[in-house]
Amino acid sequence: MVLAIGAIAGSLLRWQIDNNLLVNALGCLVLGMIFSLRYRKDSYLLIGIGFCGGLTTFSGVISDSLGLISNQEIINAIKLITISLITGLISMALGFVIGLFIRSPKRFQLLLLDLYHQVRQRF
Amino acid sequence: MFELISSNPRAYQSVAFGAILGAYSRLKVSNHLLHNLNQKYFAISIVNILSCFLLGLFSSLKSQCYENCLKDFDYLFFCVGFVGTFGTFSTFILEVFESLIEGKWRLAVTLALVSILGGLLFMYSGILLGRF
Repeated sequence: MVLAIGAIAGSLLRWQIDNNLLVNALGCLVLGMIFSLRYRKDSYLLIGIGFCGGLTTFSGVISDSLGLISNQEIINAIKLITISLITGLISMALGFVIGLFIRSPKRFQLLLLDLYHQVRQRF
Repeated sequence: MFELISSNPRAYQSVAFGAILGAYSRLKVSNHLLHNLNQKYFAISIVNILSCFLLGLFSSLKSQCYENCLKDFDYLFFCVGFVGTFGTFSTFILEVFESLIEGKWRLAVTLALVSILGGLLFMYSGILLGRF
């Protein structure tokens, strides 16, 4: 039941936005947040599998690139796939960092300071 | 044409029902692959490849027999609702991200390549099957 609610919301949003790149970036951002917040079973089912799984689509990206390949624009198809992969990874990393910040802002500050000192020592 | 359909409440219904079906079947298939066949990393890519095959099949069926076998609401139900929810991009990126964090570069590259090339291949075979 929980899964169904998330899936309906996600897929209706995807249908209304109708832009694969934007939708995938948004879903990856939310899933990265959920992944770093370490939610329990039910909320993960609602937001992670239901909402994010319904919002993002793999087959849309592949069908776009297959359309480009059939028009003999192979370079554009490779560009499209790499851009969507990199956007997904970057937005997931961003979501991961946001989730860390929400979980404990103080520890996040310490982590940033630690990182800053490490970078300064190295260069 | 698309604006005409999207003003109809039945369109929302068909997308929503397709989404419920797609989400449940993705959960069942990936759980089966995880627990019974011990495919820890490749479960979601197998689901994605399957969804690509189905999308190729349905879209070529839609373009082949215009009015008879797949109408617009059925297209929304199968392609936008069911297949779009069955294949997921976010969990795929999560697997790649996890293996990158753990420092397994080779696994991440293999995962991405296998899902993308397999998806392209299976979508093309689905299109061919739909024409046949």
